[in-house]
Amino acid sequence: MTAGPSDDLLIAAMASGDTDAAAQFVRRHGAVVIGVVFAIVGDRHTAEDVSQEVFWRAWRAASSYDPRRGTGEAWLLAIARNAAIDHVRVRRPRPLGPAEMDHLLARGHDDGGTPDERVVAGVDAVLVRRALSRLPEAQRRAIVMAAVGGRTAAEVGRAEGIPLGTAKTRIRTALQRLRDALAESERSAV
Amino acid sequence: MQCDQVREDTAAFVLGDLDGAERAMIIEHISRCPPCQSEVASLAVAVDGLTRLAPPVLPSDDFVDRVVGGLPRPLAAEPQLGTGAPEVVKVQTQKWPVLLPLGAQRRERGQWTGPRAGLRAYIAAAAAVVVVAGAVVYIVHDRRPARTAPRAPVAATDLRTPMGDKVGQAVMFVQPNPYMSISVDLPANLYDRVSGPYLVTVVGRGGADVAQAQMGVLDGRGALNEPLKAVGDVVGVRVAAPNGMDLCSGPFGPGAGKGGPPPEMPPPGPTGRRGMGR
Repeated sequence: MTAGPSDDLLIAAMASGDTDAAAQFVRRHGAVVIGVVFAIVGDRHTAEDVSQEVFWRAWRAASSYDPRRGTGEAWLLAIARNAAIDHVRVRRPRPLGPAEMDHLLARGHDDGGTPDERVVAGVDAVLVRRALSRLPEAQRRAIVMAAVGGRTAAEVGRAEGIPLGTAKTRIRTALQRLRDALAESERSAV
Repeated sequence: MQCDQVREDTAAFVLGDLDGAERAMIIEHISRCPPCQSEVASLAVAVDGLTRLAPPVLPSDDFVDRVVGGLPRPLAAEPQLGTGAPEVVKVQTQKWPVLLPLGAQRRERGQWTGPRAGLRAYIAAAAAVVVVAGAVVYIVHDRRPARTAPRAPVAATDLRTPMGDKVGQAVMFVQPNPYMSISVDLPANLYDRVSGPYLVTVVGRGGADVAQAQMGVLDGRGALNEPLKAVGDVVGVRVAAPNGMDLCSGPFGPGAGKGGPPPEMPPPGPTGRRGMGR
C-alpha cells in the first residue's frame, strides 16, 4: 500500500491551496505520469515538460475532482493522457511505432517509481496484460497504439496499412473485449 | 442521436478520437441515457487500465521543484494578514448522547443477520438507545502570513453510521481558507443506496449546526469539496439522507479516522433531525 495520506486527501488539500500536498502528490505519481506521457509523445524531454503541465492542470482542477468517477490516480492519468494527446495532435515529434510500443510495454514497470508505486500500478496491470494477451494480434496492436500510444484511428490505419473503418472496428472490438474480460476478472475475484 | 449510433462511437469517445461536434453529440446523448452512460463508463475503465501499462519513467531530480514552483496560485492560497503568531484553539465537546436504532441488527463475524439490514433497518427502527461520549479536538489557526498553507489536513474523521459501519471520510482544513472534503461510499449489500441530494451539516461547539451544502449521491457514492461556512469551533460533521434521516457522522477529535467505536457526535434531536434547515 502507498504510505501517507490517500490521494483523495492530497487532492482535497491541493484544492485548498496546499502546495506541500501538491509536492507529495507529484513525488507519488511523477514517474507514472511521465511514463504515460512518454508512451504518447515518444520523447523524454517533452514528456517531462508535458507532465509538468499535467500537474498544473490537476492543481487547477482539484476542486472539481469527484471520487465517484474513479480513483485519484485514474483521474490524474486521464489528465496526463489528454494533455499528451493534446500535445501530439498539435505536433508529434516522433510517434512510437508498433514495434517500439511492444518494446516499451515489454519493459514492464522495472525502471521507475518506488516499490510501492509499482505494486499499486501492477494490480490492474496484471489483469490488463492477461486480457490483452488473449486478443487477436491485430486487435492487440490496434488498441495498444490507440490507448497507450494516443494514436488516432486514422494513424493506426496508416501504421497498419488498413482502411480507416477497419482500424476503427479493430479498436472498438478490442476495447469492448478488454472491458468484458476485466469485468469478468473482477466478478471472479469477488 | 440513437443508441446504436452512439455505441459505434463510444470507444472513440473514451479514447479522445472524436472532434468537438461529435463529442458534444455523445455527451448530450449520454447525459439522458443511463445505459449508454454506463457503456461509456465501463469502456473508460478499460482505457484507464491500458493507460497504466505504460512503464514509469523516473523524473529528473528537480522535477518536483519545477512543478511546485510553477503552480498557479489559486485565490484560496493568497497570503492572509495575521497577527504574526499561531493561534491554537482547544475545542472541548460536551457529553453528547448518540441515537442508535434498536431495530438494526448488528453484524456478527462479518455477516449481517438479515437481508439489507443496514440503512433500511436503521430507518425503520422505531426506538433508540442512548450512548454517551465526548471528544476533544485541537484546531490550529496559523495566523502568520503564509506563502504555502495549509501544511496538512487539520482534522480528518471516518464517517460512520449509527451502527458503527464506516461509509465515508471527512477532512477539514483551516488554512488558507476553511475547507471541507467529504466522500461516502455505501456498500450495495448493506444499504438501500438511495440516490439524490444528501445534506452535509457541520456541527459546531455547543450544538451550533450549520448546513454546508448538498452532496449528490449516485449508486451509493458521493463526494463534496466545499469551502466551509462559518460555524465557529467545529466538533464534527453529519450527513443526512434525502429523506432527512441521519445517515452517518464523524467527530473531529483524537483517534478520529482510526476505526473503533461509533463516532461521538451530538444527538440528531428527538426527531432524528436537527440543524438541517427544516
